[in-house]
Order: sequence, then C-alpha cells, then structure tokens
Amino acid sequence: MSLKIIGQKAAPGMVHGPIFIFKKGNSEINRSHHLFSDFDPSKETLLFEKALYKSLQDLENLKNKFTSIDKEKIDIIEVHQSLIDDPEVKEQTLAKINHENKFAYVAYEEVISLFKNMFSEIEDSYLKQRVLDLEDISNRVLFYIINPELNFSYFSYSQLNDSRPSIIISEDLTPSDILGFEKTKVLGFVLSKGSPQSHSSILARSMEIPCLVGAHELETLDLSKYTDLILDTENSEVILNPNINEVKSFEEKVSLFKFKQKQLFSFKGKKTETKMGKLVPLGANISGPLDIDSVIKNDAEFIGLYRTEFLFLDRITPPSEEEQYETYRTVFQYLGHKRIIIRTLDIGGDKEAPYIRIQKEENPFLGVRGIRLCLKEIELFKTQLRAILRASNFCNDLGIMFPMVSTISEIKEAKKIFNTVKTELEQSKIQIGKKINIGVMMEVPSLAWILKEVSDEVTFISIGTNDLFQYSNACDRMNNQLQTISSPTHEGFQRFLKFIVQEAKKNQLHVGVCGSIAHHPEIMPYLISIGVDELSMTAQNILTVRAQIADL
Amino acid sequence: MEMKKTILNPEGLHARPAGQLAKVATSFKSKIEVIFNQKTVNAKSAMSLMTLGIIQSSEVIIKADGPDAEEAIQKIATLIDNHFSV
Repeated sequence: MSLKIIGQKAAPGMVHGPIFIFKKGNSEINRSHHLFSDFDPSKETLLFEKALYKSLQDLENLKNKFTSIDKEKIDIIEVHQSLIDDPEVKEQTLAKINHENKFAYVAYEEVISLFKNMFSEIEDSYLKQRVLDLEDISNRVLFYIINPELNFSYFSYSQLNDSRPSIIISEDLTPSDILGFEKTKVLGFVLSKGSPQSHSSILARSMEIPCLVGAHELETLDLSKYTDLILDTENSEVILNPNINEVKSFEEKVSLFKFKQKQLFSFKGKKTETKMGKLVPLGANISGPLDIDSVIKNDAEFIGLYRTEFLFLDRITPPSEEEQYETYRTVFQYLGHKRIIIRTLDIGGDKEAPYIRIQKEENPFLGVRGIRLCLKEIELFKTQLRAILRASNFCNDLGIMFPMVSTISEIKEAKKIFNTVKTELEQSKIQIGKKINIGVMMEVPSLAWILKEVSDEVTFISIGTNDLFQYSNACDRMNNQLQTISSPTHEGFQRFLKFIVQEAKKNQLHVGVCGSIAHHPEIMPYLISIGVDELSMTAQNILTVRAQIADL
Repeated sequence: MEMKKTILNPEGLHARPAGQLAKVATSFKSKIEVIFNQKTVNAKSAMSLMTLGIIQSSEVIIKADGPDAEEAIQKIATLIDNHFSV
C-alpha cells in the first residue's frame, strides 16, 4: 500500500528513488569498550586533544571545497571551528579528566551539555539555533575520541556512499550532515522535523537538492516497511512505496516538465521580443547571494527587484553595515554587469524583527512599514544606504528603490538622507558606483494621481502589483474566502494599471512591473500592450515568459 | 584593572563578534574576563561570551589581570568602539 505524507517545501524538485534512512548517534557504537579499559588521565588527555585536532582538520578540508561565492557555507564552518577550538571548553574538559578521573568522552559530553543548557536558558531565537550547532560539533569530536583511527565523514556516510543514489529520510540534519554527503548520492531530503528557514534548508536550496521538511507523520511509521518514495515538492508531499499508477503519472509529470525545460532552454541568450520586434526586458526578483546561480541559469536580462528583507528577519539585532556590505557586494560582484534595482528595507509590524520598535498595530499592512518605518528608524536606514552605496562600486548601473511610498515629502526626506550618506562617503574618499538612479515602488493607489510630482524626484517606478492589488481592491490576497473577487483579472484593476502606465509615460518615468502578475499568462500580454517597459519575476519563470512573448 | 564599556554594534555579541573579541583576548598573557548581568566569563572563550546573551547598548565590564593587562584593556576597548571590525 502506498502512503501519502504532507510536509513543507524547503528546496524545490521532483524525484523518485530508493529510501536511505539516515540515523544519528554513530559515536555511540564503540562507546562500551571504554568501560573495559583502565583509566589513564594522560591517555585520555591525548585522545581528547587529538580529537579536537582531527575535527578542526576535517572542517578545514570541508572549507577548502568552497569558494568565495559560498560565503554562507564558509561562515557556518568557521563558527563551528571556533566552537571546537574554544579554550574554556578545553580547560573544563581537561579539568574533569585530570581532577575528576573522567574518561575524555564523558568529560567532553558533560561540558558541552553544560553550555547547551546555558544557551537554551537565553530567550533568543539566534542562540537557540546555536544549540544545534553545538550538537553538530560535539558529535564529531565525540566520534574521534572514541574512534581515533577512523574518519568521521567516511564512517557516517559510508553506508550511503556505497549505496545507489537515494532520497534521505531523517529526523533533522545539521549543516555538516548536509555538506558531508557525497552530492551525487543524494537525490533529495525528507525530514520529519526542521524548518524552511534553518541553515540546513538554506544549504539544500543552494545545492539544488529537493528537500521537504516538517513531515511529522514519518515519526509514527515503521520505515523499514518502505523501500522507495516519490518526493514532489510542488505538491509538498511524499508518496511512500508508490504503486505503478502513481509512479507512471509522476514520471509523466516529470518528463513533461523536462521536455518544457528543454524547449525553454533554446530561449537562453536571446533577447525578449514580440513578433513585431518590441523589446521587453525580463528581470529577476532576488533575495540575496543564494539566487545568483538561478539568475545566470535562467538568463535574466536585469535584476528588477533585489529584496533586502531576508538579511533582517529571524534575528534579534539588525545586521551590521559590514554584514550588509559583504552581502550586497557578493551579489553585485557576480551580477553587477547587469542593471540591478535594489529595494531598501520593506518590513512592517507583521514581521518578526524584535529590534524594531513598532507599536502593536491593528492592521500592520496599513501601518508603519517600508519607507514609513525607515524614516522613523533613521539609523537603520542610513546603515543600509551606506552599505549599498559602498557596494555600488561593483555595479555598473544601480537603481535604489524605496517601498511603500505614499507622499512626495517621504520621497524628499528619503532622498535627503540618501544624499547625506553619499556626501559622507565621498568626503571619506570611499568609491561609489558611477551610475545610481533613485526610484519608488508604485503600490499605494493614491500615488498614481501624483506621478507628475513623483517624476520631479525620481527617474523610475516599479509597480508592486501584489500590494497595489490588495490596496486597490480592498482584498487580502491570503484570504481564501475572497477568491472570486481577488483575481487580478478584475476589469477595474486592469484599467487602473493602464492609467498608471499612461501617467508614468506622460512624465518620462521608466516603468516596470515586479509583482507576481508579471508572469501571469493572461495578464502579461496586457501589461506589454499598455506600454510597460519591463517585467521582473522569479528567475525560474523567465524562459517561459520569454517563449510566450515571442508568440505575441 | 577594569573598564566599563557599552557594546555599540547592532547585533550585540553574536557568534562573529564574540569570536573577534576572543581572538584579541587570546593574544594577551593576562587573565581577561567579561562581566555582564552578574555573570563573569573568560574573554578568551567565544562560547562563554555567547552564553552572556549581550545585545546592543548592554554595558559590560572588562577585567584584566596580568603583565599586559593595561594594553589588553586598551585593545579590547578599541575593538568595541570599532564595532568589532579589525
């Protein structure tokens, strides 16, 4: 009997393959032999020190596999190295060995669990994640204390590396687990725990390995009864022991998908143009360095929306100027030969960002968000602008765009802050990009009637159709009960879009669309017909849309 | 000798800044400690520093004892003032 289980998509993909059950705690295996050996503190000290050394070596080797584009991976590995090499952990472990006559692995385990307890006592989501990192490093060190002659990576993963390429089922995986697997042996990950935001999920996405997390039902099953599974992240599901019909229909789905991909590939390297020869550049919406590969693979002509929120969420303090600079610079270094539009911080009261003091709001979507928030948290805004401007030196043509603008005075104020930051940088002789334009998001309806005044301040607008639609149709897009009204094919909304584009043109504003209707098969042709200059979308949609436009 | 300092950088004493502080502290012979919220930890240990849960604007005491104590305190104070960038 086949069995369907639902989870959450953490990295996209569709695959059918054998199951490999990955279990932790391999270091338990040889533990018992210590019980029969005599206690010798100098021998235990040596075991411990060797284990630290071998663990550090392992991570050093792992680190050398990556280049500067893998900054996230290298950062995670370096944090782990400093935790392994920590003097306090060493000292306390050695004290337990030498003064309390404890075996090295007992001593080390006790010290680590002490730190784990201290970490878990702190109310801080960032440090809670660090507990998992502690487990990761201590598993490796414990393994080497017990098996000084073996190789941790080989030992843990050898079973997998000897088997056919498989889909890995596990409770949860640490970053080292993921980096340690031989990539050619892994078809996908299915985890009963985990979250799409974990370090491990980020790694799975950047390595393009399909991954489903939070498949809780797995924990209640006797997995030994199952041999293979279908992992389909588009439906956020797995099918264990699929029957012939299920496999067949899945394979058809995959081959259709692959066929389309192949057809689309022929549009790579071409300009996007209609039959009449009208050029409609297609851009990518990105969230950071992890999207660089996808932008290149899908041949985006420019970056129409670089969202910067990702850096600011799920942490208790804002990212420093250095951290932001490094991130923006990485993106600009790889994509800076294309035009890039970066959007300044666009968050509000609905997002978890404890370091921003927003009063509780009845309706955060109509509250202090986007530029409204940045003009209240000026230091936060200035830090971001400084980081962007410093990095702009790596970009030939940069647009900086303010979100959620509703008045001209907001634009003036934001520009004033921008100019202050720019002057400060110029005075300290810091190089910035030669071509930098300022623009705004067109997402608050009333802005449409003052585009003339807007054009006195900025050179481009980008229509954020997701929010614009929700504000102009009084319709929460997430509300399932509103489905019939909440279609962007609404005639009134379409006429409104036409009005915006006409007003923009009349006032020489460059106008793009970066909301999800930019790749909507029915609306996209309409957008082109009313004169939108360019469209920006998730990179995976670009080739499909380019193919459609070639038929218009 | 000791010195009171306010942590200025926005992310407080998270993994990377804690690592930087520990690295600088390790370059001195003196015993160096950080005191925060009635807890005292070894400044040479990034792991211990992280357990303090220090966020922006926290006031900490840096305490050093040894032959190069004065220099150590100066170096660490500069590091904090420079937001942990070296």
